[in-house]
Order: sequence, then structure tokens, then C-alpha cells
Amino acid sequence: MESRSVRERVLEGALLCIGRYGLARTTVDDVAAASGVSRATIYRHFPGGREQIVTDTVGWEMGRFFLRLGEAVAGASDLSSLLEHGLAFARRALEEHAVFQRVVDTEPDRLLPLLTVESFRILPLIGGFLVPYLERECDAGRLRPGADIGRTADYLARMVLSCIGAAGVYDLDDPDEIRLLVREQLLPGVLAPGTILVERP
Amino acid sequence: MTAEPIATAPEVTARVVDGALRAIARYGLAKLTVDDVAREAGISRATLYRYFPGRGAVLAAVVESETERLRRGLDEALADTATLAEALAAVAGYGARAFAGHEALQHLLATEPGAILPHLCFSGADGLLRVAADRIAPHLCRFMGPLEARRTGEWLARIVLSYGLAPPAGPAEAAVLGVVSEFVIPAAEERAGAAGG
Repeated sequence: MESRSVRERVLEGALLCIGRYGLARTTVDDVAAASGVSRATIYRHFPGGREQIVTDTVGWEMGRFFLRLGEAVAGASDLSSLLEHGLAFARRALEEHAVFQRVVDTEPDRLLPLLTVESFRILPLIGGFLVPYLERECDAGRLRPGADIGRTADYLARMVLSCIGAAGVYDLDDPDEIRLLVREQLLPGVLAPGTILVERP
Repeated sequence: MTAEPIATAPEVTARVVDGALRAIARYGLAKLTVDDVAREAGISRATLYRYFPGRGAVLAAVVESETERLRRGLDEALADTATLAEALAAVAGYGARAFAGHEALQHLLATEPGAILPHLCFSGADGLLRVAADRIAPHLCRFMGPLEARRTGEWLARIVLSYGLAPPAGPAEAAVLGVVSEFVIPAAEERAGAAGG
């Protein structure tokens, strides 16, 4: 059996355990039972033991969350619809993520430091995903004159992550408000003046 | 024993808050005791307890005092601004400096992130962004309507929070001001132009 699939089995089992017992209470024995992988094999793949398993599982699941998000919006026709659909999908997916909701409610002190560390890795991933869409807007002459695609992607990635995590003043459960946020706050300054449609049919 | 020449409630509160912030910056939150706070404040335990029943009351006073300090700081930062661009830059710059320069906050982020991040992420961020929007909006109302002022205020707070929690390679304030100048100011000016004609 190749190492990668063993690692994934452990991570999957650990995610199950975290959903059941929480971050603090998940033990290597729990993970062994849930994943069907022996303790010895687990320690071979995760020499840091319980702490490493928990940390790696959070990072792995966060990465998978954004992979699923990327897949969900892959067919977006332009930057505007990408951002609108992406935000809507991501917020719903986060709402429906049972393990995340349980852990953020009961153990935010353990979860949030892990997520914050992971965000350093996730931000460039989101930015990288946005670059082709920005390039397309640029080719179509719709990017703000003088815009730097790399810096724009970084900025949008940060703001997207921020909006996924917290709604603030806009009601981001309402698709119309998401559209407002995208067109009033996210896109202005990124797209050229006059290219962002404000009126709705 | 330290001499305590004064003892009005606001004066004691100010010393306790300052002492608590110094103690947190030094020892963190988990192990913080009322004794630590009293010592840093230069007052006796008895005096402290006369005004604050315990740790919880001290921390509540710290939050209230810091919120008030931020409000005053924001007022000062915006005092000399004349244009929309200056106002937006002033808010963002002040926010970035306040975040980076807050010793107790920075100590907690580095050594006890679990204690402070719940107040800065997800539901904590939600509340914080709304408070920031409420506090910033009045300063922007000379340039735009009240709803847009709130939304713009929140946007600036998002930027400050993002760069505060996931700092860039260089100084956060410069990055925040860069982003505000590159994206937020053009956006706001565009909206103002569209609205005002």
C-alpha cells in the first residue's frame, strides 16, 4: 500500500474523530480505530504523534475545502460571477461543514490558531486561482489601467477569505447582498471604471 | 508597599487598565492574576478589589478603555484630513498602526493565540467589523451617504484585520496603505463621482 493513501486514510479517520470527540480529546488510538491503520504505521507517517495528526488534519481539510470551492466555480464566465458564486458557495459550504461548526463553537481556542497558520498557505492558492481570471479581464481591456495582476490577486484573495469568514455589514446569506458586495467593494478599483454593472435587470 | 496619593474611581481605573495591559504584555492572559495587575498598577490588592471584584471586571475595563482610546485615536487621525482619499488613508493607517503597536495584543497573538483569535475571527470578526463600521462611518459621512460610509468603514477594517492576522513580508502599515491607495480610494472616488455627477 503506497504511503499517500495510508496518510490519507489516517487524515480521514482523524477528521471523523475530531468531529466526534473534538480536537483536544482525539487520541492516536481513536484515529487508529477510525482509520483502520495501526498505531505503529500512524507514528511512522506522523512522528509528531497526536499533535501533528491534529495539525495536519486541519490543514488537509482546509485545503480540501478550497479545492472543492475551486471545482465549484471552475466554469465561471468572468471575474465578477466567479467572485459572486465563489462567496455564496463558500459561505454555504462553511455553514454546512459539520466538523468545522462543531469545533469552532466548542474549541475555537484550539482551532483558530491552526487555521490562522494555514491561511498563509491558502492565500497564495486563492490568489493563484484568480490570476487567469484577472488576465482574461486584462486581455478584454476591463482591468483598471495600471493594475498589477499579482498585487490585485493578493488583495482579492485576502478580501475573499475575510468575507468567507465573517459577513459584517452585508448579509452574505443573501445572494443579492453578495452581488452588492462584489460590485461595490471587491471589483471597484480592480476593474476599470464603467465596466462594473450596478443596475440589475 | 507603594504610596497611593490618589483614589478617585476614574484614576484607579486608568491605573488598573494600564497595569493590566502591561501585565498582559509581559505575562500573557492565562496566568494573569489580580496581584500582577495590582503590582503593575502600583496599587494594593485591597484598593483594586474595592473597584474591581475580580479578573473579569479588570478585563472588561480594559476592553472598554481600549475601545474608547481607539475612538479618540481615530478622531485625532482624521482631524487634519480634507479629502476622501486622505480620510480613507488616515483610517487605514491608524488602524494598522494601532494593531501592530498594541503590545498586549501582539504578545497574545504570538504566545496565546487561542485566547485572542476567537475575538478576531468568524463570529468575533463579525462583531468587530460591525463595531468598526459604526465607529468609522461618522467620519466618512461628509463624503458619502451613511450606508456607504458603514460599508466602506467595514471594508477598511477588513483590510486592517487581514494584514494584522496574516502579516505580509514587509511592514503591515505600508501594505495596508498600499492596498487602500491602489484599490479602495479609486473605488470610493469612482462611487462618489457616479453619485455626485
